[in-house]
Amino acid sequence: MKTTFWMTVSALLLASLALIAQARDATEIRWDDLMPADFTYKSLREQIDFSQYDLSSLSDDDPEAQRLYTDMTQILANAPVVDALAGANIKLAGFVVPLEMDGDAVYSFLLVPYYGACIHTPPPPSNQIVFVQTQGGYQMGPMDEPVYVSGTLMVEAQQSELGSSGYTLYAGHIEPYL
Amino acid sequence: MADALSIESLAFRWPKQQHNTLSIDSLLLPAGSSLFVRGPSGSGKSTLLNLLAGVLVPTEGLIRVLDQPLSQQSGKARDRFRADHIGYIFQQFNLLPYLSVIDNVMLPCRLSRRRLEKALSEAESLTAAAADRLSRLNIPESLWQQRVSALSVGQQQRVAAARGLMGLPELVIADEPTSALDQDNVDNFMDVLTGQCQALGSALVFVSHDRHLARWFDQELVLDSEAQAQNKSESVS
Amino acid sequence: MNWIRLALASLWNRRITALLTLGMVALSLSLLLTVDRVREDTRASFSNTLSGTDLIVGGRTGSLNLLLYSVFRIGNATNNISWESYADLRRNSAVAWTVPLSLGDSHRGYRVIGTTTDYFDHYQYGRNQPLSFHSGVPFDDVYDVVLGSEVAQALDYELGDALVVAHGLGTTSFENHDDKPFTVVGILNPTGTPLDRSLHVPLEGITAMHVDWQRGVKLPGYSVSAEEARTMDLSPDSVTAVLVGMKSRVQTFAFQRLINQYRAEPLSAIIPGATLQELWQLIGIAENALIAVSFMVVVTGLLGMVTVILAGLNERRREIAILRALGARPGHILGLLMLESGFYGLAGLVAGLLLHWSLIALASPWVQAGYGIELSLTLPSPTLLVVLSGFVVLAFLAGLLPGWKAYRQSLSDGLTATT
Repeated sequence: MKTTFWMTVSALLLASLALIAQARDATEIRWDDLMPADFTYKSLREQIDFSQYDLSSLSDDDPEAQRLYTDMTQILANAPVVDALAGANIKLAGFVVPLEMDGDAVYSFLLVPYYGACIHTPPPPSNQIVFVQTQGGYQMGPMDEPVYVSGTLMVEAQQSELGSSGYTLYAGHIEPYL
Repeated sequence: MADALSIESLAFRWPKQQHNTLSIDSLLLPAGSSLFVRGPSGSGKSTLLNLLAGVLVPTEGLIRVLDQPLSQQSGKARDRFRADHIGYIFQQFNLLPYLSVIDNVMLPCRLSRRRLEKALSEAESLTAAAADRLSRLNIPESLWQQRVSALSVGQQQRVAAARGLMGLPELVIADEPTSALDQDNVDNFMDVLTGQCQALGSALVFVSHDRHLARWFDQELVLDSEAQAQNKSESVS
Repeated sequence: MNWIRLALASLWNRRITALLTLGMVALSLSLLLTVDRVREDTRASFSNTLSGTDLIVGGRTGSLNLLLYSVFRIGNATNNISWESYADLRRNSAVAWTVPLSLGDSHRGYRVIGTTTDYFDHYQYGRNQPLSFHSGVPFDDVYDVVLGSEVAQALDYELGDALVVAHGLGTTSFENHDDKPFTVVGILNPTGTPLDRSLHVPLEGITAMHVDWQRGVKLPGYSVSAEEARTMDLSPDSVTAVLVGMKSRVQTFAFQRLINQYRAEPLSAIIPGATLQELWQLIGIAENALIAVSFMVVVTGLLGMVTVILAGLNERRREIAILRALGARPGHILGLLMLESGFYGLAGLVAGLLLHWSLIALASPWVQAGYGIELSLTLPSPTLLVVLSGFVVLAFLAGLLPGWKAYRQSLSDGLTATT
């Protein structure tokens, strides 16, 4: 029936316009914005008692260095978040590390600022990693191609003794970066 | 009643040729009468057939069939006219090998609504009309559902005649239909063909090189090897 | 005038050629359909096997190798994880749960997995689907075994049956642990994953089996009975792999790095989704090449069909002249030939689908058993369906070439075709 047909067409058109509008309305943020202003390596240094280590004499293989590294990693793994961003409609570019997949479709992934992990530098701190849930499966391209993810950013609390939290993004729209 | 066929100053020349393949000054064939066309090979017989059937258009002159200026009409109109009003009989291999005898006979009425209606005016159904035609041409019923390969050449030609006469076409054109038949069958065929044409009121144009067949026809047209037509208009009865 | 009936009758008259041509089209299409189906099902099978696991940890090895042997039971581990390392790992505050796995034994060709009851609590497949029991309960005693659905079905086992585990992974083994039989206490529901073809025993059961073995050989004169073994300390020395669930996913990377840099023992940790994606990228080139070849074969089939129709036109001049004499227009002749080529396309598609499904049905059990991939009997994927409809349209249009030739021929032949 003609009216039903046209109504469906207009509904679909409006829906896609809304999605595009939402993507347009999304504020583009950068990875730096996900870190609180006072989170610098300087403040990091203050969290570790460096007096127990003699940094000048440590080599990479030293178990002491290992312990220091572990401590730093622990801290970075529980980096603070910017609570003000909770609920914001944002757009962020990054690389996709797939978690849940169904055939070719990705249902959840981690968005990170760079591709590949270089073993000489630590992995990104937890406030530089965003856990993304997609709406329906997302057909991802090669892992070394960055994407723009737009959606609502949430700050989720974790049950860990250190009481830290992490970013979750409910993605409305994913498109290639280039 | 409109004349079956009327030709004026007809000339046909193939595009790259210097001289005419065929030229006929005038010819008139009244409705329901018959014409015998005779001539050696190369005298333009096949060209004449193609012109009369509306497949070719003359270079000069006019052909009127049933008072319609056939030679001046578009290809589409000529094809339609042929489907509606003309029955055609080839020298041999008249029938489609993948249809049964009766399906072959019913073909003209499937290509022309007018012929279908006319066939249905004579019988209850198309099949009945075809059956009637086949009977009149002495094709036994046992053969009607058979494939062409089960029939003798004589029978095939008679089936072709039956097909040509379906739906009461006003003009029947036959291209040497007896050339492939032996003498006994020739007479038999001529009898039934001309008999049926007369009975149904269809005009008949018959091409052959065999002068002995002329006696079945009202008129005779002789084409000589110089493609000049001499209208011998002999009344034969 | 029923042109379709006429076209079909004409084809039937030339049925040997027609059937061969149809076969050619059908074969080429079934190749494309099968290649696509295998590709889709391989991805689905692999990604459906494991869900909800954030990291997999194993002895130091390549990431693909670790994924393949720990989850898909393809290939073997080159190194184990010591129990101490495992305990240390478990203690980390970022970890929510762990499932240790001990691999290396088999029962009549099916793999035996040593694990804890955490397996039944935390293992998920498909889209976060937990395991469920068809009958029975998880293992409790050292010599209890829980069967995957296919093992129970293929070997006709029920609750309470006894079975013997063999050393190594072959269907036959000349070394088995027949002095320590296991009892079936549970049978799992089907999952459609390699799990169905596995047997699950407690870690202690694995240790008990190997108590009197040294370096892979049972020492003559030194045997420990099943009951004696029970009384010993059966905590395992090592495990092959560990599935890990994190409390917070954003900590996955940090924990992965920790494990990869673990000084006490060389270990590897992988994120299953990412490693699977690496696998797809690796074989992506081969897949694309295969698809490209299939497409070319389909095009070849189409060209072959057009050639056959073209080549047959000469014999059909009389047929066409008869139709012309009866009043058929040249356009009708063109249409007739397009109907013919369109028929080849459509019937070829149907035949190709049937052929494809037969191939899948035949190959499926063998592929399942050998590679763990479940081939499904379904319609092609939506993209492929669109391509196939395009193919049918193309087949119709391909008739334009011979159709045009026949059209011209009919005009020039007129009513005097001599063939």
